Amino acid sequence: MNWSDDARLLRHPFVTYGELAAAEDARPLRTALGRALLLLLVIGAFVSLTSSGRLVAFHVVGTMIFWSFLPLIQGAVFAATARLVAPRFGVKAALALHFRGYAPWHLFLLATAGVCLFAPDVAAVMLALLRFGVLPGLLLATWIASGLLTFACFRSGMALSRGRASAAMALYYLGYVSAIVSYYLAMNQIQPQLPWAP
Amino acid sequence: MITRPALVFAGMIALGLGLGTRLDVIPERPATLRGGYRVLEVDLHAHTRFSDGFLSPFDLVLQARRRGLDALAITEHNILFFPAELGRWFSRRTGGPTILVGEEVTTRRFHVIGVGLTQRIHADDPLADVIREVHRQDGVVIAAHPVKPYWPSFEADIDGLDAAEVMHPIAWSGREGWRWEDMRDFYDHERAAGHRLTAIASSDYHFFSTLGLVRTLVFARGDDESAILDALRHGRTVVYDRQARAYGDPELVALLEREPYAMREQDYGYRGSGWLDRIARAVGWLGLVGLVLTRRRISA
Repeated sequence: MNWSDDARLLRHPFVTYGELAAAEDARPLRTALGRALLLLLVIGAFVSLTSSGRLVAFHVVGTMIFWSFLPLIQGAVFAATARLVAPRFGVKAALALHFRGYAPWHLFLLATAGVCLFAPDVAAVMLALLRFGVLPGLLLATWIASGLLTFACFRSGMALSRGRASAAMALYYLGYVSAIVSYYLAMNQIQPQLPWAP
Repeated sequence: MITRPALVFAGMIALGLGLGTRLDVIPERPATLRGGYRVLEVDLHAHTRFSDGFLSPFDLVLQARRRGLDALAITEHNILFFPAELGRWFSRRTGGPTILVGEEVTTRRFHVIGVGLTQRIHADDPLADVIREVHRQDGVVIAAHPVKPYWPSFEADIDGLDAAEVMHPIAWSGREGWRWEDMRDFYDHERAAGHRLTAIASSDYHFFSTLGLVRTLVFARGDDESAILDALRHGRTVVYDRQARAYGDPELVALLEREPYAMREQDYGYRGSGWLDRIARAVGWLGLVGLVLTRRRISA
């Protein structure tokens, strides 16, 4: 079986990122865009399958458009971080490496959609997965795996020292989460719910 | 470069997408009359991607049509225009349900829904001011999921509330600190104390298939926004809980006992519409899993 880069990264993140960085990629921007589109396709399919129970073109395409802010923000923050911590490493090549590291999210979204499509009693199974902590546990594992891949991307893919890779990862997540939270702050969706709100 | 298995999986996705789109038949919404009123199936609490929901306003309208809803209120947390107006614009052009522009004013002390709004309501204001502002805009104020922690706020301004959610998906799942029984008790207690509250059932939709899982039967003189708001102001609703106990206008409840109304059939459990539907979605899903796992760059 010829596993995808995504799957190989899940099994051996550091080794695979080293191999991918060493391999010649003549068109890194195309690779990055293709991978960002794959991410949007998976999100679109997830939303379509979990809302309508089918792959409906309108839902898939509509979701890809309305969720495009996600890879845009992630790509912009990652590019800025890469530029800051490894100015000699090409931004396009860095993005091509970064967007290959989304397998944990792909699998989490598709597994959740799979439960909706194939469980005999979806509501009962979902509630059980929530009550026994399986779904929150999987979500946490996805975050951790995703963080590990981001670290491996900086450490092995971009050949940074452990300290610089750690700092880069922290900077990336800080920038990304800040961008998302900023939207909700600008819309006043968080402040009135804080414990010290009037 | 794309490998042969990846092409096969891409073909499976295309097949799933083509069949899924073809099989996604939107049901008809025939009008039903009772006692001289149109009986409308309405969901007055739904979120989109612009707050904490998954669907875009367009997708939400399509989902509402699929669920056989006659009207839907788009009620983002503390924001108004863009998502709801977008949904209304799209629905009018596609023959979708009536879209009511709303906002879920979300604070740590209370959540209230204003529907029929024209301007944003400020969540930093006290509840009395929020109620006054919704009424100034000719909107209707609904106490959203009035669980016990919100009771002190609601009870202090009870005369300003037009309606309260009596049914909500927490009747199935519960949430930390939230009990559905609190909502029922709040409604029963306030009605017994002489406060006229319109009974509302809303799905508080964020994601998955649950839009319209609980819905309000609104007895309106038409299916436009003003007719629905008029019915809500005058208490012309009936909702049912999981034990089929009815809440709402006693005369309308009695009317439905004499002439029962059958809710439109729904597929919340993703059963699909037959073997071809099941195969199509399985093929599409497997194609996606295969593409993620086997798409390989040859140079690597």
